[in-house]
Amino acid sequence: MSRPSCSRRPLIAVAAGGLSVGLVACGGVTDGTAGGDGYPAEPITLTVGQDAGGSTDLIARALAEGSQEALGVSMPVENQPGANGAIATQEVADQDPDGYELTLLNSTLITVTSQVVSEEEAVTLDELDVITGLSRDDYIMVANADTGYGTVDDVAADSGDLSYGTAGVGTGSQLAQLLLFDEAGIEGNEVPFDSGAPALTAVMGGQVDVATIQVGEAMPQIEAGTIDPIVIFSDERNQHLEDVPTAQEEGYEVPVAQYRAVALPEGAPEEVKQSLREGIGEILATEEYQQFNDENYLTPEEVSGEEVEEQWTELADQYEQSVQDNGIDLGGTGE
Amino acid sequence: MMDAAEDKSAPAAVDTGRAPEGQEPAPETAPRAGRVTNLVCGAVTSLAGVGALAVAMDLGTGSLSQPGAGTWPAIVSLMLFVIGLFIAARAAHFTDAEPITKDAVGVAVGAIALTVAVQLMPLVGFELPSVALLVFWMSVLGREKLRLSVPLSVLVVAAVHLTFVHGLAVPVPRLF
Amino acid sequence: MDFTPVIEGFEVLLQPENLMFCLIGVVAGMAIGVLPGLGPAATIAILLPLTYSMDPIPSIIMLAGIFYGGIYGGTVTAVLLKLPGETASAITALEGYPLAQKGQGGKALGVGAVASFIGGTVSIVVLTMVAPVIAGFALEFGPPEYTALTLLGILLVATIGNGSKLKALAGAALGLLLATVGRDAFTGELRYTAGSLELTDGLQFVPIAMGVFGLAEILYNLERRRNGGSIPVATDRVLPTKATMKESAAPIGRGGVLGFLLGLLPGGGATVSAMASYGIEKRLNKGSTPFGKGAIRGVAGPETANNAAATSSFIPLLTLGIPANATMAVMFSALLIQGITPGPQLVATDPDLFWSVINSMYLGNIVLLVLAIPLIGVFVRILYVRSSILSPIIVLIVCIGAYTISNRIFEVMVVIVFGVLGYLMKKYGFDPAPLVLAFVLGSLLEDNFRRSLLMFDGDVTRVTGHPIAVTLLGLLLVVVLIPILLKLVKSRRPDLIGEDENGTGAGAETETGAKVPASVTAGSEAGAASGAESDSASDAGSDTASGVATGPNGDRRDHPPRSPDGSSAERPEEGAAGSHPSQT
Repeated sequence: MSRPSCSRRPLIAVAAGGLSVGLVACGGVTDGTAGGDGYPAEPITLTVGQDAGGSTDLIARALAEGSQEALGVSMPVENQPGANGAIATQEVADQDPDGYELTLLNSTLITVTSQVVSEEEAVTLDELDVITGLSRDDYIMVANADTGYGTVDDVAADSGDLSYGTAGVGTGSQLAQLLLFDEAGIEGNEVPFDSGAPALTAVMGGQVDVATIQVGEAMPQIEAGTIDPIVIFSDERNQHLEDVPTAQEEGYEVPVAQYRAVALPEGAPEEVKQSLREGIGEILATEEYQQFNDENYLTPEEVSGEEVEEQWTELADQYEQSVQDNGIDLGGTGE
Repeated sequence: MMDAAEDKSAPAAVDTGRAPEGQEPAPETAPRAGRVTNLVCGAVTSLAGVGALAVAMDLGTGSLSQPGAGTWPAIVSLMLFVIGLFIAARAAHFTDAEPITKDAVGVAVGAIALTVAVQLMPLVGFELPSVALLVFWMSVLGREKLRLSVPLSVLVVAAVHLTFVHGLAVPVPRLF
Repeated sequence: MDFTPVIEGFEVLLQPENLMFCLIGVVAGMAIGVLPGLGPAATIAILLPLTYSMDPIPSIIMLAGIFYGGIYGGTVTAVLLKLPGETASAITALEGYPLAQKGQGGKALGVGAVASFIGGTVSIVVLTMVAPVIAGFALEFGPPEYTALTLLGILLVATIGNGSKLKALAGAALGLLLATVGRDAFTGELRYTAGSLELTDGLQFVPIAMGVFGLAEILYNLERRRNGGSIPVATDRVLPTKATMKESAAPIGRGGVLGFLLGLLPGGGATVSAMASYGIEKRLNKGSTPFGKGAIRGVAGPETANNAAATSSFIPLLTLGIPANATMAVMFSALLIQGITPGPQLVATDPDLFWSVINSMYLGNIVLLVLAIPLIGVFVRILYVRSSILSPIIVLIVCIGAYTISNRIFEVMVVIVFGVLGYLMKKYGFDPAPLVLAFVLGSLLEDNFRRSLLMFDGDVTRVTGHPIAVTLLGLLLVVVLIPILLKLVKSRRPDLIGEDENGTGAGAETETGAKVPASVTAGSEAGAASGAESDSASDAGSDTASGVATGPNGDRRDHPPRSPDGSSAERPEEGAAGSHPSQT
C-alpha cells in the first residue's frame, strides 16, 4: 500500500538551490521525471473530488483496480472532497501535466453546477485535457408506489398540490426536475436534500411525492416495488429499465445525465496521453470493469476526449439557455 | 514565556506535586478575572451576534413558505446578541473567568509556531517543519533538554511518516 | 422466523481463519482509530483496500472487526486525550477525560468497553429478531420528525454544559451559527464564507472538535505548566469493579434502549442518542460524583447508546439500503465492492450474506471486548509520558490526522483556529461542549425545519398530520414544563435553591426549551422576520427568569471545577465517589 509518488508541492519551494533534494526525494530510484520512454514509471494518482464511498469514488476505484495490469503501475485514488469537486479539479489542473496526476470528472460539475456558483468557483474544461469518457449515469424520476403515479401526466394532474425532492442545489437532479416541471407546467414545492439517498428515503416514506435521483440509487427500491419509476432523463432508455420512457419520448426536451470522464492537466506530451488512452481503454475492456458498470447500472460512454469536451460544452450552453429562457431559478449566487 | 521556573526538566511532575512552585497556588486563592473581563466576554459575544446578524439580513430572511438563506442565521445571531447582553449585564456575578497570566505568552508562541509549521508543510513537506515544531515545543516551551528532544523528535516524525505515508498511504505533503 | 441461516452462519464464522480475520480487523481498526482525527469512517475507508482481494465472507468479518475496533479507538482518544474521533464519542469525553485526569482512565475505558459490548450485542440480538419488521421505522421519520428530534437534542445540549448556563448558551448559539457556514443547501447562496472556496462546504465536525477539545486542552495546560500530566493514581485495574458495574448498570440499560431506537434513524441518530443518554443520567443524578468531574455513569450510558446506535444503524443500511451516517456510507461501499447490494432485496435474495453480515457483528463485538480489556492498560500508559513530551507529539499527530480528512492544509488551520478559540473559552468560563454539540445538530435542525416549511408550504399547522413529530414536540413541552413547575415550587422555598446541585440544568432547559415552542409556533404568525423577533424575545424573557434563579447557584458550582489543575477541586470528589475507594 505504499505510495511512493512525488509529494504535492515540495518542488516549488525547494526549487531554488534545493532542487537536487527534491529530485532525490521525489523520484527515488527511477529519477522520476515525467514523459519520456518510461511512462508510466511510477504510480499515477487519480484524484476524486467526492467522498470515499460515493458513486464517483466507486468508479475511480474500479478503474484503479485494473491499472496495475494495464499500465504496469498502481493507481492510488485520492479523495479530496470540497465544493462539490471544484477544489479537487482546480488542484489537479494546477499540477504539472506529467501524466501522474489524473482526475475523475463529473459532467454535472461543469454543465450544471457552473450555473449556480460564482465565477471563481465555476469549473471549466479549459485547463484540463480529457483522456476518455467513461460512462453515463442516468437520472430517474421516481414516485412512492402509494401515489399511483406512473407517468408524467399523472404527476401533472396533481400540479400545485405536490412536493418533490432533489439531490440539492446545482445538481443534475435539480436541473432535470425543474426543467421537466417547467415544460410540463407542473407546480409544486421543491424540497432540496443533501444528496440522492435522503431524497430517496423521503419518497419511500411519503414525505415528498416524487424525487429525481440516480438510477443506481433507485434500482433496489424499484425492484422491491416500493417506488415506481416515471421517467428517465436521458436521450436513450436505460438498458436495465427498458420499460421506462425517456423524457424526450414523453415530449420534453430535458437531456440531463451524469457523465464521467478521466482528465489530466492541459499540456501533457502526446505520448503520455496516448499511453493513458491505451491503458485506460484496456481497463475499460476488461470483464471486471464491464461487470462493474453493469452492477452499478452505468451505461458505457467510452468516447474520445474531444467528444467529451464537445458534448459537455454543448450541454452546458444548452442548460444555460433553457434556464434563462424559462426563467428557472436554480438558486445560487451566479448570475 | 520561559521567564519563570527554569527548573523544569524534572520528569513526570504530577500536577498535585507542582503546587508549591510559584504560579500554581494562585488560581485557587487569587481573585479570578472579574467584572471587566466578563463585560468584555459579553460584549464580544454580542458583537459577534451583531456582525452575524448584519450578514444574515444581507442574505435575506425570506418568508415562511420560502425561508431565505438568512432566516435561521438571523434567529441564531439574535440569540447570540441577547445572550451576550445578559453576560455583560451579569458580569459582576461570574466567578468563572481566569485572568490571562504572563504565561499565556507561551500559548501564543506555541500556537504561532504551530501555524508557521503547518503553513510550511505544503511547501517543503511535513517532515522538517514537524521536527522543528516538536523540538521547539519540547525544549523551548516544555524545557526539555535538547539531547532528548532532538533525537526524540526525529524518531517521532519517522514513525509518523512510516505510519501515515507508508502504512496508511495517506497523501500527506512530504519531502521523503 | 427461521433461524437456520443464523446458526449455519455461526459455523462458518467460527472457523479459525475467519476468527483470525476478525482479530486482524479489530486490531487494525483500533490501531488506526486511536490516531486523533481518524474516526470510524476514516478508519474503514483507509483499511478498505485490505479487503478488496478477499472473499466476501472473510472480508465482511474483517470489516465488522474494523468497524468496532475503529469506534472503540475513538473512545480511547476521547477519554485519554479529549480527542473524539466522531460526534458520539465527544459525549464520552465529557466524563471520560476528567476520569482519566484523576488517574481513572482505565476505569473509564474498562466501563466503556463493557458498555460498548453490551450496547452492541443487545442491539445485534434485537436486530437479528426484528430487523425486517422495524426497518420501516426510519421511513416514518421525515423532515418534521427530524426537526422535533433535533430540537430535543438542542435542548439536551443546554443540560450537557458544565459551568455557567448563560455562557453555555452563548457557546451553543455560536455552534449553531458555525453550522450555517458554507453553501446554503436550499438557495445555493454562500453564507459566512468570506470568499473562501474551502468554506463553501462548511466546517467539519472533526477539526472543530479536535481544536476546541483536544488542542485547547493542550494550550491551556501549556499556560498552567502542568508539565507532568495527571497520572497520580496508577490504573492497574481495568476490569470494572462490582461497585462500578453496579453504578453503571442502569445507565447502560437506558443507554442501550435509547441507542437502539435512535440509531435506526438516518442522520444524527447516534449522536442524539448519546446526548440523550448523557442528559438523562445527568438529570437523574444518582451517583456520588457530580457530572463534569468524571461521573462513570456519564461514560457508561453514552457509550452504550453510541454502540447500540452504531449497530442499529446497520438496519436501515441492510434492509433499506440507506446509509445512516458517514460510517455507514463507507460500509455501504465496502459491501458493494464485495458484490453485496444492501437494500430491501438482500434478505430475500441472499439470506446467507445478510446473516453473515449480522453474525460477523456478533463476532466483532466479542473480539473487541476480549482484546480491549488487556489493551487498556497499554493505552493508559500514554498518560505516563510527561506532557512536555506528549503534548507536542499529540499536536503533530492531530495535525496530520486533520490533514487526512480531506487532504488539505485548510482543515489543519481550522483545528488551530478552534484550538485558540477553545483555549479562550476555557479561560473565560465558556464550556466548549455545547458549541461542538450544537454545531453537530445545527445544520440538521435548520435543514429539516426549512424542509418542513417547504413541505407544509409555510403552514406549520400541518405538522398535526405527523403523529411522531407531534409526540416528540409534546415530549418537549413536558420536559420544558416540568422544570418550570419545579422551579416555581422551589422559588417558594428559596432555601432549596442552594442545595439543588442540578437546578442549573433545569433552568437552562427552560431557557432553550422556551425557544422551542416559540420557533415552531412563531411560524403561524406573520413571517420569518417577525418569527425571529418573537423567538428571541421569548428567549430573553426566559433568560431573565432563569438567570436570576440560577445565577448564584451557578456561580457556586462554577468555582470548584474551574480550579485549573483540579488538584484541590477534585480530590474531595474522588473521596466522595462511591466507587473510588475500591479502585485504588
